[in-house]
Amino acid sequence: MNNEPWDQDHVLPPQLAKDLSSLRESIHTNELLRAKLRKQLLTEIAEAAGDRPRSPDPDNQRKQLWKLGPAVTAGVVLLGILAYNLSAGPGESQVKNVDVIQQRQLLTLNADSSTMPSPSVSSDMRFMAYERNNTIWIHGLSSGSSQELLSPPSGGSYRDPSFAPDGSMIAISVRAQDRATIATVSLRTRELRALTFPPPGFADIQPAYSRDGNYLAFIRTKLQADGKSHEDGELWVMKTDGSEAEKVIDHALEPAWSPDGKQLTFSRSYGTGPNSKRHIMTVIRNGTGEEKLAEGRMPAWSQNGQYIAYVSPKSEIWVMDVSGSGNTRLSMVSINTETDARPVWSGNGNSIFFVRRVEPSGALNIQQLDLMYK
Amino acid sequence: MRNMKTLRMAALVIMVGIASLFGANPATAAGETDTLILTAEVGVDNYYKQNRWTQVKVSVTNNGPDLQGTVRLTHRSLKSGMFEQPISVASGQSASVVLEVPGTAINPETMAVVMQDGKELQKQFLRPNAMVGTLTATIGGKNLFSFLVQQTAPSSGTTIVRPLNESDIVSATGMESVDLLVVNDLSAANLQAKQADEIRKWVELGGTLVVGTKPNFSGDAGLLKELLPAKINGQSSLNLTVMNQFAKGQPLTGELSVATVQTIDGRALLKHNELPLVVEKKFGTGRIIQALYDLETEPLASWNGNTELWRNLLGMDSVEFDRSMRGDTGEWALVNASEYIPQLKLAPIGTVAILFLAYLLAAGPGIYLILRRKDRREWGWVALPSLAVLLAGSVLVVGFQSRGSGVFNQAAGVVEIANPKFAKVEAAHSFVVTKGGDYKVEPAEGVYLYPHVIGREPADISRMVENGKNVILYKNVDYMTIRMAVAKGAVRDAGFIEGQMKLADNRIIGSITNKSRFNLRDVRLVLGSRVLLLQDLPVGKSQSLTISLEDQSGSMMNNDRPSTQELLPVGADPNGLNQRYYQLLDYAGSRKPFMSGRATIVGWTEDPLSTATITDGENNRGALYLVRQDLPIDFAKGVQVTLTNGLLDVRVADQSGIVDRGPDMLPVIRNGQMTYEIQTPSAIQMKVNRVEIKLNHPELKNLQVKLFNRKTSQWEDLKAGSSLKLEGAKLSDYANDKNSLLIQLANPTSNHFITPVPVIIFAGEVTS
Repeated sequence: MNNEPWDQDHVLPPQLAKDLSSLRESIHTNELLRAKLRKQLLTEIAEAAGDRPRSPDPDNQRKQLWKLGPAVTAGVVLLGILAYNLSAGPGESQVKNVDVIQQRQLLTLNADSSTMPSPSVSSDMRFMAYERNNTIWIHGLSSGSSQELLSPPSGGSYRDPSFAPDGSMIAISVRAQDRATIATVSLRTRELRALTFPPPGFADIQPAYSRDGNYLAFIRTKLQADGKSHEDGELWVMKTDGSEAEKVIDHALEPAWSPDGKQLTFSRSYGTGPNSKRHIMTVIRNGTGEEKLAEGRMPAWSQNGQYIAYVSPKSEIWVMDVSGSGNTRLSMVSINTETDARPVWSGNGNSIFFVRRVEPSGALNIQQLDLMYK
Repeated sequence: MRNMKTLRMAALVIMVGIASLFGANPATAAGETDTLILTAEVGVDNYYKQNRWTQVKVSVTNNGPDLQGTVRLTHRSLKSGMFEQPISVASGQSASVVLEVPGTAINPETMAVVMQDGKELQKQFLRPNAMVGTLTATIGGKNLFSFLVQQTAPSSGTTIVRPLNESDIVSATGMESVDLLVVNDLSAANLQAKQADEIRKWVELGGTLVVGTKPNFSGDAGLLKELLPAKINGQSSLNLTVMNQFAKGQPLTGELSVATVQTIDGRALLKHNELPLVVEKKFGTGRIIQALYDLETEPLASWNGNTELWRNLLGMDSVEFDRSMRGDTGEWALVNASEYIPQLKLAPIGTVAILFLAYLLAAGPGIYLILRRKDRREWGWVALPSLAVLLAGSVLVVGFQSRGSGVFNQAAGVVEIANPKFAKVEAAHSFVVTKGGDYKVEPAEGVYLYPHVIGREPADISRMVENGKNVILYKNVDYMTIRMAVAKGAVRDAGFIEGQMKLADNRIIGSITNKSRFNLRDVRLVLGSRVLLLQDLPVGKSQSLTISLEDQSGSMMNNDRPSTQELLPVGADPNGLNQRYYQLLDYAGSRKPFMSGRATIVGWTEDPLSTATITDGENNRGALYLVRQDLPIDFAKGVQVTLTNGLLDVRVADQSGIVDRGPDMLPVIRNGQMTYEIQTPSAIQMKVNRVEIKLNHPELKNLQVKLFNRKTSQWEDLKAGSSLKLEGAKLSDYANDKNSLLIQLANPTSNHFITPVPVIIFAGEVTS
């Protein structure tokens, strides 16, 4: 059965339909009137209770807006600052000044090492590992005593130590005659475990632990005849058990992780021969977002993610923010007699360790810069 | 007006004070006091050490009817007893009991109370003198060893010498406060078998026993015969003028009768030509020093050179001895380390949060939707409580399954291996009882056990002897509460770590084999102030060592002690409980500094060591022990060596103005000076060709550092922060034929500054 009014009207006698129509109109009018009255009554009740302004007085409204103005402005400013901070990644963070409180010498190595030792400091600041006489040495930062971690391999060498974040393992590069592999060694058991197996003629070098200890970055490059100098190679990352190795980018050396593990910094050579220059680069871990920051080498990312320490073309230790600006010199060298290299951050980010070679003796001093952030 | 009010208040305070003084007099507290005379003595003549156990001897003279009661040690404010022993004294008789108590439980408010049928009959406050330094007890001989008495500045060490009656020796635990026991004539000492046994145990646990040798000594030292280092076979005489070679003092004349020895089980500490005068033997972790002459023979007994002579023989001026005397870390460190109970560890917070969220969803929307669908919303009255009960039951079941229902017995301690047949263990046990009731804790064979009490903690604790063992009874223990006990004693089956090491050409060469029962991890070789990382040493494993000790000139090494930091395990502690390691290291290092003048192996083990068992208890996972053992190092003749602090002999030659002790027990001085004599080890002879003095320690900048020039007899200033190298002829200006240097640290100001021992490096050739 169809109950539509039109249908009802259609079947009713004309007079009855007309009366019905009048009645509907009247009801509708009454309903509108009643609704209007109800609304008015509610408004009055609300006004009596003080919930709403009594009247839309334009002057009053203006005063209210004027009162809200500062609060709204402050909110907008705060939101702006928040949005700026959130949107600005570490590469755009505000530059802070870094000052050196003191510089001190930790130890002097006798002048029998022809290469710069690569120091690595455990995050608890208890031990430093460095390479010397073809093997890795451990230096107690409190007692000042050094010892060999491993006996030097015959016909090869252990190089490039990198402490795991928990301090229990050290990643190293094991140089053999025809290749170099990445391995880890346990401080407790001295167990050596190879992680990479490059083809002959290639060297996997410069391992670097990610901050969470789950990944290692390293460089795969051509093995040089002297076994010491390196050309730029491929930057790889892998899990610390050697699995899931994947290439990130070509033409890289000296990798280091950002604290969040999302980016890597490295150095790259531009130009050839005497005109070549090395630059500090950053790249997102998937190989995209490559950025050139400053001329320099041996970058090290600070613990708070805001700074990168590096070695300037004049072989001094500098620091810059991750956007490449705010470059600040931290160490000074005597030209022709001193060369600084291999900066590494301490676990708390308040110190930088580096190696200073002093000529003509060739002595290698491992030094510590204590920093203050302003 | 205000003045009047103040005066009234002052008068009131004075009156209340006087009234309280009278009220506090214990002699007036009890009515029956006239018939009982009570005396109490703490330690040795009321001297004791706060961080060691000691004994309290309570004597009762009964002038009334027969007494069958108890002697209780308690505090003024406590109603219940703290330590209690039964006593029975017949009418007109006297009797005494000896209670063993921790030094921490004693203070001037501690009193001995005689109780009978729950009623106090008599009480007496103790008169304790807590001391820091060397406590010497003597048996027989008036004024024996009185030349050692040394009273120095407050907070500095003192040496107290007091007589001890043989009958007062009750247990090795009670004698823990005693450092030195001097008995001139063992054969005459009135020692019972039990007392001799306790003295033997006391020496094993670290005590030093000094014995004399009477003329015509038959060799029969009674019950302690086995302890003597020398086997006597005759008699000789010595011109007493010889003694002036060994120490400064008035000139001596006359003859001294000296026993001649057939064999020495140990080494000679003092000898003239080939005639040994004083010999030493190690026994457990302690030692016996035997003078081969009568300690009471005049004029030697009254010789004023005896102080220097015997302080040298006992090593009392060495920095190591000094620190071990003062650095006692209380047993709280052990107890804290034992309070880690892995079974009580909660599930990860994330898991708990997820489970709780799941419960909320089930209890809220879950139940509502199900019941609405079934149109049985009224069942909610039952469903909701049922779900809550189900959850609580599940938590209980899972909890009991994972934790069990027994008693958790968790231990942490320090094991010092002395020889293949003896290791000293000091451990704390924490017991968590999951059910209430009475519990009994029993020590293992050869172990002393006592409850750990905190301050005035009263207790549901009693300690009693049962089948020859000291057991602890915890009464009416509430469920899921913790009780602590400390165990100290001997482990006879610990085995040992065999080490064959020699120092040659600045390398440690040799091997070590773990023949102990402990699987050791994070093993360190402490060599003086150096800390070397070794591989983990499971039971039976051997490890060859070729460790370069090449001196890294310009290193930041500025401490004369090994760094505790480097003795800690590497890697993250999975339980986040690094504090346990710190506490055990702190305790072990304070009892015996790690710089012990030789090589020390230090490692960690979780292997259980049952020093105490409790009713229904389990030796649970999570035990942690620090294991240490000294290893000999062979200094090969003719090789070049570089020796630094820890391997050198360092003693305090002179001092003044000590006002306190700083970090690592370093002396703090003002308006005074510390003079250190530093020399190559007395065990070897060395031709030194280079000495380096490193003044890197930051505290040295506050002091005037001076080096004694023996040629000019002048003190020469050194610059703090610098290094000084002495070689060739320059070296001979400062070092004497014993390779001894004198360095003075002076603080002429009234500020307080600590005085660290400068780092010295001696490089040269071992000649014998």
